[in-house]
Amino acid sequence: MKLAEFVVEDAIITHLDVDSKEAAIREMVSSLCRAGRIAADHEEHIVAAIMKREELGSTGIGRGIAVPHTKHPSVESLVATIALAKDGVEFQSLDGENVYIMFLLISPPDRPGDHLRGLECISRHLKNEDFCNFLRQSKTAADVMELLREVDDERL
Amino acid sequence: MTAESPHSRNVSVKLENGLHLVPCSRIAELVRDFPGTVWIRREEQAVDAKSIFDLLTLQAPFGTVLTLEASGNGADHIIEGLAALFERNFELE
Repeated sequence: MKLAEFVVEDAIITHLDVDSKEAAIREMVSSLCRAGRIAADHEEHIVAAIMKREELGSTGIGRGIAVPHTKHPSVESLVATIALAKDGVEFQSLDGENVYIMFLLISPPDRPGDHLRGLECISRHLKNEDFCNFLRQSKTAADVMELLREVDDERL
Repeated sequence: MTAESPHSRNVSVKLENGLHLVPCSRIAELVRDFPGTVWIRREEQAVDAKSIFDLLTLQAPFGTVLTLEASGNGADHIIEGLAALFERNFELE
């Protein structure tokens, strides 16, 4: 599985400026909605489902990274977006640090394997410090996509 | 067996959705302060159980058999604790 296959370029946010975890999640879901990847009438339900998932334990997994996610029947395949917050977002992360890189995933409920493959793909690349550093410096969605293609092709 | 001998045990993933982020977080949290080493092996792949990023790369669906391996003082207890998490299905389902 490759990042560029399921990250929606039109939904990438490179300058997220919010003051809470919920606001960050809301902006990212809204962005997927504007990009036409989820229907507007599902937006609130998806935000609520992701926030409910956060109650089980923060998806802020350390090193300034969070992977908020949920399953939803309105998507037929894994979709994701990325948000970059230069000033960081308080995410109740496991290491107590703010989050600067967020990958938000929505996967079909009947395909748990896709969700695991998406998480594997994201975490494998996020172990690469160069990737994280370049990602945080990205200015546009096109920059981010180029970077995703570079790590997908093991050029980074 | 001395304190430095490695301990290991096989466990099965019984979570319907596989070893997703919540169970991986709980594993990392449990072993975080253990001074020795803890590895979780799936066939040829072995990952550091203290790293959520590594654990997620196991990509272990329902039914996967994993081997827990630990060494260092208290390795037997950490293996017991981890096996109990798997047996209780991480109290998720």
